[in-house]
Amino acid sequence: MALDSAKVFPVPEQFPWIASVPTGTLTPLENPGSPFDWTVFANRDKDLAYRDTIVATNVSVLSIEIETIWGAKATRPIMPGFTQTNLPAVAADREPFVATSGTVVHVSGSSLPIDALTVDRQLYGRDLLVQETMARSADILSTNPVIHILSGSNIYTGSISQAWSLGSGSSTQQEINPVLPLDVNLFKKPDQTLAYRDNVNAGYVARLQTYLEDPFAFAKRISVQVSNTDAREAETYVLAEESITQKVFQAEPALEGRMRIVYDKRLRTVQWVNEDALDLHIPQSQPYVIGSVKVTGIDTGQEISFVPSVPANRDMAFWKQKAEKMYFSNKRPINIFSTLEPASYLTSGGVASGDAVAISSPETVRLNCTGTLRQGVNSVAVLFAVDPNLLIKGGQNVEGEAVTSDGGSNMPTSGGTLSYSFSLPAGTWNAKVRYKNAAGTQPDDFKVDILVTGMANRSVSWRYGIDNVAVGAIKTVNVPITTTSASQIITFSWTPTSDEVLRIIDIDFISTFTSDLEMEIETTLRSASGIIDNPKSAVISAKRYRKDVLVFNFSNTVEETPIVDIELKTDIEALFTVYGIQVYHWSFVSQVENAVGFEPVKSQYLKRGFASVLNGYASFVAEDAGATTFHVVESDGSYSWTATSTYRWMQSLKVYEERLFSACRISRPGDIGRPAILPEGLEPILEATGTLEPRDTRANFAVPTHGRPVLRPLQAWMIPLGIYVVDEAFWGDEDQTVVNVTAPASGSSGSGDTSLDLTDCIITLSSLSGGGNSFECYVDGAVTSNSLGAGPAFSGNWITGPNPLGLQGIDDFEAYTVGAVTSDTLAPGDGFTGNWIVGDGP
Amino acid sequence: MRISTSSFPRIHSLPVALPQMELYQTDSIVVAQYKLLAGQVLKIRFLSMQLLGISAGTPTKVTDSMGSVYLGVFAGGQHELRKPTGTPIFSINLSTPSAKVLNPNIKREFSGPDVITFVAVNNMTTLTAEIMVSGNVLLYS
Repeated sequence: MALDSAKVFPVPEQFPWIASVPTGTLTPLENPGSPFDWTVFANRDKDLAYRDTIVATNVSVLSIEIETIWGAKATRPIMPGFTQTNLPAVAADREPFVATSGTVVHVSGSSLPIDALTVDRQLYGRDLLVQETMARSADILSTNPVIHILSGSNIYTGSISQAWSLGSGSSTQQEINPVLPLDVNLFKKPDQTLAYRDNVNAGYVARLQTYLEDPFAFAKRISVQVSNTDAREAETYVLAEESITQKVFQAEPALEGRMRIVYDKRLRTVQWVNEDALDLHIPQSQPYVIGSVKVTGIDTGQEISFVPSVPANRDMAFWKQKAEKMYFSNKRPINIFSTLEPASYLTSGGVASGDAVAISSPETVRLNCTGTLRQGVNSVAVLFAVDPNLLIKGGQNVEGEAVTSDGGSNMPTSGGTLSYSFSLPAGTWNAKVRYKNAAGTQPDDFKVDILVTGMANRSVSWRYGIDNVAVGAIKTVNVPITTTSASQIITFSWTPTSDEVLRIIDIDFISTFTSDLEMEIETTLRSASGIIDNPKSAVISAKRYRKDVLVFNFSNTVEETPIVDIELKTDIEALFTVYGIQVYHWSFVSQVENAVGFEPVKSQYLKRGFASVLNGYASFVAEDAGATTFHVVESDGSYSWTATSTYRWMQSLKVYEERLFSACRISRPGDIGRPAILPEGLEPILEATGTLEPRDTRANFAVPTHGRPVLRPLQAWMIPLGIYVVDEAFWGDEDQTVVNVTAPASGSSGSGDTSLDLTDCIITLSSLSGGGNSFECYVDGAVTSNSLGAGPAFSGNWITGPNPLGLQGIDDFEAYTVGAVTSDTLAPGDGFTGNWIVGDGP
Repeated sequence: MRISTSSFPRIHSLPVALPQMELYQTDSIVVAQYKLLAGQVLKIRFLSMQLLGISAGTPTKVTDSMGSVYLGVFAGGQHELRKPTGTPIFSINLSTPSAKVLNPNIKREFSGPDVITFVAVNNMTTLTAEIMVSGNVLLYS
């Protein structure tokens, strides 16, 4: 081993301090033939003394690094002060090849003063050898704090495992002094002092090497990273137990006997126990002894690295991957399709209202989604609002004029018309037309006629140009109209008088309706093969402009592209507007082994991860926030908080939380109630009348006073603003309820449900009106998948798919009439030998 | 963390409770409602609902995806309606006589300005239901 002989050298606690000259290069002897000048020789020794101090400084740097990484005391000398860490290696000052033995041959009685130069070169080489040995040993660290001196050169190419000899040294401090006689000791004793200092350095380096060859033996914490199979980021394991034979390093969470590294002191092996504790890791020889930091893991290709670096900041992404490893028996949503631009997927019914889809009267809209349904429970989440307005973009004209970048269309330059077909509930409306002079000169005054068919061909005229519309300026004109429930057309016609170009950007039909409404919505999940499951309905109350989410659950057995039908079943005085839709599948996962009692752990992980986000934001505010504007300034000078604002704000969080976007994502309609990251103080503004802001300014949200991030349950109004929710890994083990308590006896009887939802048992008892008389011939174990069918008298809804209760034989149904089956009256059939489950459905 | 005498009075423990009550078909009732001012935080720590009984008959649901009865937590302008407006932010769903507790392992924190409303709903058009709600929230002001 390298510097083995130095290990036996009794190093002093304090590094011997002697006079030195802070250069690190040797004072040259300009003319060897000139008379003896003691100052040159004295200065050269001081130069060499300084070099020893440089090496000693590097020893301290490496020692501190080792302490920081492994959290335990590493040896180092007490230093009166530190120097530079760069050790010079000048060719003129050293031997052509540094002696790997590290020996030094002092002057003798037959030596001339000039022979002391040879000894100086040897002392010079010893410094290089110790420094280089130390640098090579420290290469195993992720970041080597010791500078290589000789690598890449041919000065010293030997192995650090080669022997080192202690030079003849003396702790007696002596320097070359003219008052002393010119004899052997004048040169030898100062050189022995220098050799002693080299020995001290070598002794300390040798001791540091023992740490680097087996850090487990002294470490109080280690950093463990798993790569390839079942990868996980570097995590700190701290010393939890130590006995005569072993040391146990443990990571969070404090799972009994798991997330541990067990180090065997005698065999010098390491064994990893992960949070599952299902598969045994065969103890591996600790890898540092062979210059590696990795051992083979449990699975094929898996590697466990004992990362020799200072523990990294644990950001939200770190805690996310931790949370991913801890899961409990729960339902996990898997996204199939999601959009906030449902108009792009509209195939029949309704009308596009901007990016949304509006339904003006009892009607069904069909959205052809993308993605593939999965067998089991699939949910459809609909983001909606009941709006007293309909926004038609100028580009949606009947004539098919080209769509401009702002979504509008230009009137034909030679004169002509732009027409728009629409359907609204009958009543009084205001058509708010946004337009602009898209090109040409400032127009003269001329007339634009607006004709609305279906309301007695009402025509209004509007004098375009009367307000001197400059090129590019956006203006609005309000046209009061009274609609019928029939489909109607609004037509703009004009005759241009010069080179101006009139562009219709959009028309917003706004009702004077203000009251609240109650309505029924029915949603059907289909595929190209037909209906997936019975339609699901919901009855809701609504306040205009207030966004909300409806979730519908369906049982599915096909793997096809989803098609969603949404039907407005109530005639209302406003428009049911769909702003977003999500189709997702509920995947069931089972609990990680022996995790009972650790259910709050995900909340804890989220708390810790979010603390990192908060710290990052604090740094951002302190360092960078000066010129940052999150809100969007509208053309009228007002502020808005839009999805763009959210993006800007999230980018500000990302400045000091680089992996933020791998720990959260933009919210979808089905994420309602999930933890969302939003700026504190953001809220939908309520008008004095109690209604939410009308459409043209509804993006106006109160600009947060500080914008400090907070974790709040996602609400519907946050979704169009692009608010982020935290990754699914942080979500709880159950979104709704977990604890079932047996109810006390009651005079009332319980009845089963007639439909499937996520909280109920799938088997519907009361719908078995004819009895299940096909069941009785089956014995337990003889019923194979898909072999059961409805009895001949069955008229209810036959549900297929996974049976949450497991395989059971049931023969008692046929004796019961509808309503007669009450709780606890059912019993296993004669042939049933399985586990009879009572109580609520899972 | 150390709770001082000056900060402790700023944490209010408030009830969300409904004694045993019969809800008729499609009825809903506001159990509790808390208006949060800017800077205030409301934490739902414990919330349970018990369905004591349902009248005999075949239940037909109003909103298919919810339980026969449910307790929903609403916010963001819903308080002006006092009725279910869509899928609650959090909910406890029951379909047979039993009791359930909102998973206490998940943090649920609202912040002002907002109004948080707890609404108990009989989600059936055909049967009456006897319910009971017990709960507690912490208001940090």
